[in-house]
Amino acid sequence: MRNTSLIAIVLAVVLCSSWLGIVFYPSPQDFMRSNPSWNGLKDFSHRTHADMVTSLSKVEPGTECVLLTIPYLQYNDNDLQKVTDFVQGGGTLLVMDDYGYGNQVLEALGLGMRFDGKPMLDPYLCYRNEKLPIVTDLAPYIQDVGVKSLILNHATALTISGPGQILARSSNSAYIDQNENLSWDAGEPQGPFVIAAKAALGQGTVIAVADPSILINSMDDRADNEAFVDELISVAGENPKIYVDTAHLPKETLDHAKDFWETAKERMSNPYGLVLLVGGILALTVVPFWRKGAKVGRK
Amino acid sequence: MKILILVIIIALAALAIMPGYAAALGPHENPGNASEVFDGAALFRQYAWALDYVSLRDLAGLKMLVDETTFANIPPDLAGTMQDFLSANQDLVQLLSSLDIDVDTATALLSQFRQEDAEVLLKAIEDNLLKANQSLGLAESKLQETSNWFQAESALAESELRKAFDEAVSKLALQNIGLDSLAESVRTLSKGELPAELHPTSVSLAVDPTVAFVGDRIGFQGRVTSDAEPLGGREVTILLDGAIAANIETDPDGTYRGNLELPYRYVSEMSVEALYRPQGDDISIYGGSASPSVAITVLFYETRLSLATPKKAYPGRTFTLEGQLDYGSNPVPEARQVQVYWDDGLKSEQAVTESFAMELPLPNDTTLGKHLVKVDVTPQQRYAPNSFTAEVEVTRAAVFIDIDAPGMVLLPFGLTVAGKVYSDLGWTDNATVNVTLGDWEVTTRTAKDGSFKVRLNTGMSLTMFGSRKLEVSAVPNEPWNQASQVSPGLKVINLVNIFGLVLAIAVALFAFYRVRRAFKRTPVVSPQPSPATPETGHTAVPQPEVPGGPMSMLLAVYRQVLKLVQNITSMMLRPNQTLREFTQDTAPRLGPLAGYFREFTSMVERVLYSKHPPKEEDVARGQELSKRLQEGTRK
Repeated sequence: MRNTSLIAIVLAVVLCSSWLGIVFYPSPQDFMRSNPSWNGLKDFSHRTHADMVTSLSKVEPGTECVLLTIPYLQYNDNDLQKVTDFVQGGGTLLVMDDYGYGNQVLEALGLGMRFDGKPMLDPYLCYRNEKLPIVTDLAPYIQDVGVKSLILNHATALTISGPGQILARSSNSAYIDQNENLSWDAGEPQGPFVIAAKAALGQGTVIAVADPSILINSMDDRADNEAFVDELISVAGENPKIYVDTAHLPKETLDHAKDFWETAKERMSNPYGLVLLVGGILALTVVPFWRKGAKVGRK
Repeated sequence: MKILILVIIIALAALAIMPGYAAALGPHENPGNASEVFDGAALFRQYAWALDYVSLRDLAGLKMLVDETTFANIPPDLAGTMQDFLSANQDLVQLLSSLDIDVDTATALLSQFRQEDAEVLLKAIEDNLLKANQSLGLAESKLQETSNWFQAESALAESELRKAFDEAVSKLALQNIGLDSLAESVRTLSKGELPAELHPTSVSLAVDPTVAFVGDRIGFQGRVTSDAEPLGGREVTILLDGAIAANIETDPDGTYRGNLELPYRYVSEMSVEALYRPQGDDISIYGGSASPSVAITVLFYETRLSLATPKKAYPGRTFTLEGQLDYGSNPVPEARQVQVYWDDGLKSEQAVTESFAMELPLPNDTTLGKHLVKVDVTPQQRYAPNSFTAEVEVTRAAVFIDIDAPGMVLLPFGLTVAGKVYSDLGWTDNATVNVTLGDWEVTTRTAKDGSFKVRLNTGMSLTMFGSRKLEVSAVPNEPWNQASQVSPGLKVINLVNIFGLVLAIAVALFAFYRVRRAFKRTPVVSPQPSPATPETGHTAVPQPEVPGGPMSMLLAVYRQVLKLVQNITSMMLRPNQTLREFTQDTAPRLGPLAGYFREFTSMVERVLYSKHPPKEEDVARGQELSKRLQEGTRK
């Protein structure tokens, strides 16, 4: 076997195995759609048919659109403007954050809501331990749809200093663990704390939730988390278009590769992209024959 | 070796692209693997809060704590203990609330020198005190059980567990002190009972009229006596529904007379009672007494309120409340004062007639969703109040966009889009209209009549032809209108790309034609002898090949031998290779058979390149050489 043939075979095998890995190997990263493990978003995205967008420019504005963002990475001015335009144009923005950059978004929108950014623990009303607080104080209209309790996972709290409607509050036994020693110390604020709130802005609505983890596979079906999230989404109508912003989530190389593959697929799904692809393959196949044919022809 | 390198490279590549399943360090934990932690301090704080609710006599607060236990993280062994503790506290609140009232009542009775009534009540108080002590004892035992489970008493004094436990204990102790104090008060009251030799008294009462409107005055009269002797110059207290309405002094014959105004309480009945309470020197001589209660039928004009509220209201617009006040056959007042509350906040107050319509403006930033509107008709003399609560949904009006656009666009030429934007509430003025076709976009604003017209310029694109969505969105300026979007289909034809495609097809066809022609010209490579090489010095003058002649037979046999040799040696006769070169190249692989092949090749060269035609003997020799080669290969 010649060396060139060997290199070609290796290259082909590596490319194929990489492609298979990118397509079929699940991401272990938090909040990723392809992650079927406990910390992924597979169940949520399948249930809601959410569109995971890698760039906010892919979000189409509309009154029946929900943009769900988990701002674990900083927003740039351009993205903040896009989010503002989305809400002003009638969209529903669901900001779910605990220790990320949610305040950057809320501040840009000019809302009187802020994420505390410190752990909100509840050692009494909780599932197994204080880091998984249970919330039972819910707005009447949310209770009306059968939501009786929520289980949070390493949540924080919201502070409200402007107009807005409180949707969920923690119990009295909750506290903000300011020094993060997992124990209440004198002077640390005690509950109840606001966990979710809603405010009108322009033509749209902004909903802030102090824990994005209620969406992950292992939390989605606990207590009434699923019904709660569905109720929040229903603000935008019965069957809204849901976008999940993955541009502000930390990603592994595999996630970037998956994003790239998704983008490529999108491009290829365009008939003209397909024409280009077929043309390219055709050219690659024909060119050697062209050359060889010409050579033989000369003889 | 090469295969091994191949496998290693692939394995390394696979390892490089596969991420490890390292434990994800995120802002959450797997609830399935979460460790179970019971926080004793938190539980004792709940106990302390429960005791706070007892102090506040707040049964609702305790009920909330009971409801919460369903979700509480309590050790299974202590679930019942917690329930019992809260249940004991609930009983305690009910008993203490009752005791508070009873002690006050007993104190009042004794101050009125109504000994018999006071004695009955004090007995009931003592029974309830006993029950309260039992409940508190139960709570104390449950607190102790919890303490044993968490070993709170042996915890460090400065630990949160111990502090929370101590707090609960101290609050329980406070309840004990409270109960002891109450018991002491009751004992003091009992000791303060009046001497039995007091002269009993009686008070009579007559009321006229017993049917009256609110605000009317009613007359009352009666007599105070003791042992049938009139008690003149004594003060009689007239109670209306238990509250003091008047004080009046008796005449020398013990009679009293007066009148009082029925308050504007719109109830069907009130009770009047006369009370004699000894004062001054009478305290040591006479007991107190109360008259039988007289019922007064209270009249007033009922107000029926019917209200028509819109089911929907819009931010930034006023909404109208239409109401009707109905008094039945009663006289209709000139005006009534009406107050309107929006989610418990007073929004408007005005005087209205029998039929009214009130305009209520809603701020632009009103939260969308359901709100409560409450209309209160305030009481007005004989006219009773009334109230009506309705639910109003604040929403935005759906906006409609009528589009006037061509059904087809030729790229790269643009198109003109016109239309009107309106809602059920009217035209939308100055709304932002955005027209998008693929990557091309243009924005304009509507005129006062909601109309707009805009030119969308297109350009170069990969698009060739097909259907595209023309997206037209409108964001109204008015806060009551909802943003809207329509996406009519549009046929798009890209003239430039179609021309380009035709050109590409033409080029491809031409290329295909060339490749095909080239293949047709390619000669079939067969083991034909090459022209003579320079070293032979012969000119290539192939002999004419007569079918069936010695030449033809010899070459046929040689072709078979050539095929055989190619198969044996896996070497092919290249187009530019002479038979001699091929014979030399294959010799190492043929081994001993190389001699036969060399001889046969020499014979064929001779036949091909000499003037002498082959003879029968040459054919026979060639067949023999072929036979030997075949036999040699079989071995």
